[in-house]
Amino acid sequence: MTKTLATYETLALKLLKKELGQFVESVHVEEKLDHADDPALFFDANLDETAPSDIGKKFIYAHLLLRNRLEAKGEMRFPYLTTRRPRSDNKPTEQILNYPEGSVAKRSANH
Amino acid sequence: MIDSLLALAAELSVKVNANEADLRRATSTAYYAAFHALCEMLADQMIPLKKSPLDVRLSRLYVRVYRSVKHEHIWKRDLFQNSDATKTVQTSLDNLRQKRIEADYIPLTFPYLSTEVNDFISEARETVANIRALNEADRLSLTVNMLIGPEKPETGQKKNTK
Repeated sequence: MTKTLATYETLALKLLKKELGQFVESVHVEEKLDHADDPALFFDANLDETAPSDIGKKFIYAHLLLRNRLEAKGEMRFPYLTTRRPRSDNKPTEQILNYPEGSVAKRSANH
Repeated sequence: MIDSLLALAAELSVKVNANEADLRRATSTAYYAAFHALCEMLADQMIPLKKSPLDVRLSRLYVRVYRSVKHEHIWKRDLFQNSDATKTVQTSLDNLRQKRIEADYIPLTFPYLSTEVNDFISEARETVANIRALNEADRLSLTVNMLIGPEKPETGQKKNTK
């Protein structure tokens, strides 16, 4: 992982813990192409079992803040944000989210 | 329709033993609920009298405006730069759209749990609420940007050659 991504993870973890709650355990970020074939950042916020089920309102606000903070640092790639809930089999999120690079077909972007 | 889509998405995701197809449909439906809320806002702004069943012409115009919103609009940031409220809407719509593409087009194992799909639905529900709560200036700005295009940056005054 690059130093920049590590910095983003730290920034996002601090922000999400503050805005969503202490139930945000960790944050993982990856650089990938998005649905429009644009370079983007994919943040996974790993929540623990104490996270409430309905966090939509706070999530949206926290996501905007994250985007604004990154833009203020000159980062213009869109930050996609996903909550990851506890898995009963303890399978790490990174292994499950193992899409090939750029696998989101461009042809699908307009539908 | 929008609230029914949200309800359907929730129903699919909380089904006992919801399978992958249920979770994919729930994710896609959640995005579409939010997308339709944007289409509806735009059409309501342009053709506020659409509810008159007698006026076929107005109904046709309403549908034309409604259908003028394209999915590509969602990731064009300059269309949503009017305020924090519109930027919030774009951020959520783009986030939901990414999940919807994964749900509808990526044939690998769907990587989200039903609890995570519930989070997408919760996000979609709030996005619909945020679109419906946009003030008049934001509604107008979005409508004009989507129908005509974003305002071009000023290039300065023309030189006086006299």
